[in-house]
Amino acid sequence: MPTATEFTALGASNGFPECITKVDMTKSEGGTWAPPVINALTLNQAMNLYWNLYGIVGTASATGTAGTATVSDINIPDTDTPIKRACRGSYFGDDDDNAGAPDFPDASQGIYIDSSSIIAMYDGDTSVESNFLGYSFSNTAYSIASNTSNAVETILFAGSAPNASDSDAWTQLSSIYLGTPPVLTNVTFRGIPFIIADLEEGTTGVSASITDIALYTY
Amino acid sequence: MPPLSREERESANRASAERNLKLRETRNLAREEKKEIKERLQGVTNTRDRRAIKSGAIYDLSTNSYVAKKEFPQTGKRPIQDDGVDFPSRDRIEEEVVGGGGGGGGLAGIEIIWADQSINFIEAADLTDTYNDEAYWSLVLTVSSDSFDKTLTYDATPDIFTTTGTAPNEVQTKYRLRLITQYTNGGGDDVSTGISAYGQYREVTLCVNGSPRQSLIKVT
Repeated sequence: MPTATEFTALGASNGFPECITKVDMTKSEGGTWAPPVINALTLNQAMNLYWNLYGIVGTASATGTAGTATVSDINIPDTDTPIKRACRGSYFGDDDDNAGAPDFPDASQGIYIDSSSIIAMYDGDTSVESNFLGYSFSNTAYSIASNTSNAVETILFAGSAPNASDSDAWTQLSSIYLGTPPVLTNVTFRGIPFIIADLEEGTTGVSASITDIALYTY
Repeated sequence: MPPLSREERESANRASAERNLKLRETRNLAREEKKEIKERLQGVTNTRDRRAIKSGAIYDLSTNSYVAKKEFPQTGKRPIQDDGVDFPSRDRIEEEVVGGGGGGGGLAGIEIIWADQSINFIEAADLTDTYNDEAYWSLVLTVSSDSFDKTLTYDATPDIFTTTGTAPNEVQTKYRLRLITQYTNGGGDDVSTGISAYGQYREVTLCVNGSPRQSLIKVT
């Protein structure tokens, strides 16, 4: 785990660098919408994730005729330190490996944190504080592997994930979704609750995982 | 020094008499006000109301002709009465009318605007009511579920925050607004001094190394 310089930030006086949008999670968005899966973060967990997220632990690997492509343990660039995140913005890291011709097996991973994507979730009316559920960041990281006829993808959600039956949402979110509902699992990494979505369209020669996160320490 | 002429002596005597007359008038006014305040205080039985009466009055103004300078023992520490803007002494605190100083926003005390927009006002006299020459003195606010529960106490602990658990999952239980602090002066002596604390404060959540800290931030 990398070590960060200690800091204090006032931000928007709410623990984050900007105001957080309140969202009624029961409100239908139409189409194939169904109630999302919620595994809410507390203020402490949400702040820890936004300010201190560094990387993910896991591997994406794809094997084909051309050989094997592998990516693992990617991180947000070292220059995007916690204190820098006081200046609201999005911080992104990714990596991609392709084994080339003739069948181009491909592995890639990405990690993403953005203060404007944080929401405060409510079970109904957002003006009633007793409806407050906690915080959500939606999708935070992915790990994908594919070869000619197989593909797997793992997406890491913090706070909430679309319902497995919400095909509109999964079509938008996933690179490989073709209609098979994802398997959603609640996990906890470094004391922070997440939802992992595993999608697959054939698994021969491909694997993708996210098994932990890396946080800055002080 | 050459002797004064008769005219000069008369002029000087006249000026002196006018000064004495004004001084006498001021003392008489103060005496009358003190008398009135005493009468009002005799009719009040609780401390809070007594403070309220005293805080709006010239209560401690001496009406004697001469007040001897109070000497403090040479302990190596500067007396708190000589320090700070807001806390020159506890007696003076009670007579501050347009108090605060140092950006107090005209308040003789501390006003807190909580996260739910409700407001508490703490009178200046209450801030040091139980202070007993400790090196540090703070207004202590209790934190419960990431917000102040509006419980106010005082203590002599120097820490700004009190938490339980370990980072980054520690839980904050207290925040302290320092009223009297201690530092080491140029002579190497530890000095306790009042901080200019009067004014209006707002509840905020700070980020300290990615963890929330409920705090007060001065607005005026």
